[in-house]
Amino acid sequence: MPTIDIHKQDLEELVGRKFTVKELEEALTHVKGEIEDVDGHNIKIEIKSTDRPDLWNVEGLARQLRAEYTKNQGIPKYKFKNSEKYFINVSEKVKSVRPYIGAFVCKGINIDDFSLKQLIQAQEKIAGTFGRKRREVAIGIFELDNITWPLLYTAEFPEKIKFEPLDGNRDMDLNEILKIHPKGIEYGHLVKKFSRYPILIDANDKVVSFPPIINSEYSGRVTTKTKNLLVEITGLEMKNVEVALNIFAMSLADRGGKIEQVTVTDSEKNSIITPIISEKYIEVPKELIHKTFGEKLPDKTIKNLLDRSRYDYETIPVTDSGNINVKYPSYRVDIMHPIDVVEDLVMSYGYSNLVPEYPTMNTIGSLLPHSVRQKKLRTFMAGTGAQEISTFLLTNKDTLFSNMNCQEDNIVEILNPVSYNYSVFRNWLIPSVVEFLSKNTKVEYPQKVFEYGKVIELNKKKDVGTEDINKLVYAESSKDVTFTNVKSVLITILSRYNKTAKFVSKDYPSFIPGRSAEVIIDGKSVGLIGELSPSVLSNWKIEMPVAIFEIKNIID
Amino acid sequence: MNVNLLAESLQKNEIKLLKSFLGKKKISETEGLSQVEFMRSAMYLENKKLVVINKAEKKVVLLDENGKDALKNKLPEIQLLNLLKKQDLTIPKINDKLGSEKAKFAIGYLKKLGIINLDKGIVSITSKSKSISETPEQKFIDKIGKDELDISKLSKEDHYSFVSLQKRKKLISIQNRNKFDLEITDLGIDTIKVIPEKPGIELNTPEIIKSRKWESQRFRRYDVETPVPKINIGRTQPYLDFLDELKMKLMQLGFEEMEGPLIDTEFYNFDALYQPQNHPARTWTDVYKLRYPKEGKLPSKEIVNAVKDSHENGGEIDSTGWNYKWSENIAKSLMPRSHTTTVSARKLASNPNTPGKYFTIGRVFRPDVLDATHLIEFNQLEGIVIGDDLSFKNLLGVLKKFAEEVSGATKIRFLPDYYPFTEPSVQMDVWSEKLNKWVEFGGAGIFRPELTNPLGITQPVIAWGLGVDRMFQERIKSKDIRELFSDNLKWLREVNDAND
Repeated sequence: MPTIDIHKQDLEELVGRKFTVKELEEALTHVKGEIEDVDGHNIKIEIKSTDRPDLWNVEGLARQLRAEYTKNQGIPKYKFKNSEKYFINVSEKVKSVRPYIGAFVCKGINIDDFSLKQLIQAQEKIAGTFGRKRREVAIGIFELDNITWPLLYTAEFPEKIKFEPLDGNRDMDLNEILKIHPKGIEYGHLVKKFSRYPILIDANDKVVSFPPIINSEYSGRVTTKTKNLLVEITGLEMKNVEVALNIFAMSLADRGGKIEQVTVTDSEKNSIITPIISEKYIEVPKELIHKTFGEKLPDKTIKNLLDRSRYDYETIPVTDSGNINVKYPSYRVDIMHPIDVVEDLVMSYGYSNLVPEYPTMNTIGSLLPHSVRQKKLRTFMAGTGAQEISTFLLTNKDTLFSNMNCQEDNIVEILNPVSYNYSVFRNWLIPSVVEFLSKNTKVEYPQKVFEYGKVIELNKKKDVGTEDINKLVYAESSKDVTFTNVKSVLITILSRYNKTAKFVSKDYPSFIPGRSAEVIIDGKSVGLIGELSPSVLSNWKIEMPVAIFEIKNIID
Repeated sequence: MNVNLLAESLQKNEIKLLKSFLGKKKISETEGLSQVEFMRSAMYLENKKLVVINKAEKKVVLLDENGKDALKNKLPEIQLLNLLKKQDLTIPKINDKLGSEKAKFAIGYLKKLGIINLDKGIVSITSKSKSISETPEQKFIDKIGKDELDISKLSKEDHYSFVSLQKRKKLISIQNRNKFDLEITDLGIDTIKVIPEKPGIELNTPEIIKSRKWESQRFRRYDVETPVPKINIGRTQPYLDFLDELKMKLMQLGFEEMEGPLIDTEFYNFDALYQPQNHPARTWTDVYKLRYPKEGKLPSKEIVNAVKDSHENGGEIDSTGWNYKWSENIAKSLMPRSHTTTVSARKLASNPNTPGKYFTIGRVFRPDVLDATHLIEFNQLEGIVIGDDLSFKNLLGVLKKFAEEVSGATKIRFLPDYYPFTEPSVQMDVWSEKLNKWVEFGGAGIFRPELTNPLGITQPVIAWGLGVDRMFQERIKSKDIRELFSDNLKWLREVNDAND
């Protein structure tokens, strides 16, 4: 979720209205924003509209709030001039690397420290989140007056181009930039797989930028003295480039800049003019509005909500089965279905102005039979005097195998664990309990614990390749505990379910030979029981005897 | 308590101890009682306010290994002195008699004090020293031999010996002793006078009941105020109990429980929920992927194709879709579910009864670093309501009901929110009096038609999820979320749940 820093006064000037912090909090609900922190006039806002990059800067927030609080409503109107002075030619060579570029010129802007910071913040948020860390969209902002037109967007072998990157202090070739420049190190992977790297060159053969990595020092250093800007955006898809261009063009225009368009011509002499905010249409069924609100809104209210949500529209149809033809700007990438428009109307209406209504539906509640029986089983088990525990399903191979003196088995493994400690799913429950006991060797004995929990086994027959198995584990640890103690608990619990187990002597590597058994119920192996071997106990640094059992599907 | 009743509550050993005061105000032992028995009875008597225990710590000096030898055979220097009184001796001779180590020490020690002469290998005693037979050190050793001595109460002379002997090897040692004596109280003195002659019956046993002995003999009265040790009882895990409670509440609200697998395909975790395959939330930083096993099976062609169309072009409904090429292989990948919405997706795809209300509680997994505020594995409670005319107001109604029924909230607020699979979406906060701030309680929304339609559902579906971990954390006032899965046995034995 993008989080942006704004200055309250700046926002107020852009909206044309003052806010108290409390009012601002209320206002921000219209843009899914939440105040994270207030430090004087500096306010940190979390924007939850991850699908609305046009709201990720203060100008965007203000644009939306203007419609809620002033008469500046409907689709925002912007006029971009085409002076036919600015041209970018796109070479065939860049087509397979980073094919799309768009740009505009912004004149007569007053850049102070503050708006410069806002510009850099917007650049970071849009290229970082919407641009997927510059892969989809990368943004360059330049000192217009240093650049000679027309520009050439092409791709070149990295060793052939040399220029001084921003903050690089000297000329470097592109390989060197990737190797030692901080931005080269961070974003180099985006171009490394290509033999030629994208490059933007001006009419004097000077490098303007090396997208999506770094701008040049000569044109890429924007300061508070800058009056005229070039904004250039490259990407893998033109629609994303256009969205980002629109956002920056509108924001600079909101701050008083005059936007002039740039003509981009590809190798086949096809030209486009950027930026252009086109308008799109969507048919919103009136009925969907009524159904979503849960009441019939008067047409007047619908109109008012559409205005405040910055939509244009033609007439509202008289009949409820009719559609409203709604017009929206092309940068609204979040609109896929009429419901997206309706949500905006609900937000403008205000969630707090809707009266919650618990649906009257006659349904009969029920728990899974297993849930009911599980509760009873846990009560039985606590009745033995044992403490119930709840442990993680995620664990590691040492815990499951080597610490238990067992051979490694095929189990469910995580590809991207954050920590080795939690890198596989347990396939048996005893190790979780032994690990628990190992963490409590200083706690008063005797210790009796149990867990009723899940393990995951591989099962090719299942559509998910695995099966969740419910198991019961019980352990007793004290200076005089024996096999007999835990066997008594097991047969007693089984008798609650009219089950009788056969105990077949079987030596397992975790147990003292001759003191462990396989538990068989109705001819099926369901678990194991025994006294843990001193060797396993030593692995876990436990100095107290432990007898333990685990059985599966006791109540399934 | 009255003196007579008090007297009737005394045990055999307590009586013995009390009687042993014999007019004395203070005692520190009782004949016939071991140290342990004496102490225990003393404590019982103190509880009954019949005696007062005076306790003080003291340091005592004891004989060590060589000291014990010196008690028996005298200190080496005295031994040598006594030998030399009989005759002058050569060093080898002395070695023979005393052993070389002691001999070496004794010769050196006495020579330094000018008590002996060493001349051409012959050791002799100086004439003025012939009368010496004892030293203060030896006297001190003999004294300790009789009884350990309180260091703080040593005489000046003994203290000098103590300091000098302390420098020598293994002669004396120091130990801490709890000084302990009993002082009888006035109540104690009164009680002694009324102790019954015949002791009361100690334990009630089958024999006593059968023999009717109780008709002629009283039972000893117990001191019911005596503190006793706590025991460790069998307990169910408090957090699991809480989850059970939630299940019951949901059942009472007419919800039917559903369940699904912990490992699921990306299809149910994402695709069926209309989350595009290139969405950042699907990458390895946000969700776990599996090294093994890799792939699962997809449901029927009909559902798979409908989901594919929905992603690629919006499918049957009036939506643009995400506009990209949907891959079946990505959808097949297995992963530990990152939310329980997989279960809702499976429910919707299985032709559920409508109208219907369904819920599930289960574990989900997210890559994170385990710490006081983050779990990598936790529980989610979530559910869906399917019905013909469900509106956003109904969604708010469901949430409000939960806040009131489940968390007992009195003040709530709704904020617009974003989830990829719901539109409109809402976050609900409840006001916490304890924390004096809004606390996020849950999130909800109406499933997007791009999600429900491919799964065969044409009615609106309300979906909600509640943060049950934090709810319980607040209830038990825990500052560390790991305590929900506590590996601390002591904590589990002692934790209190406010609602128990």
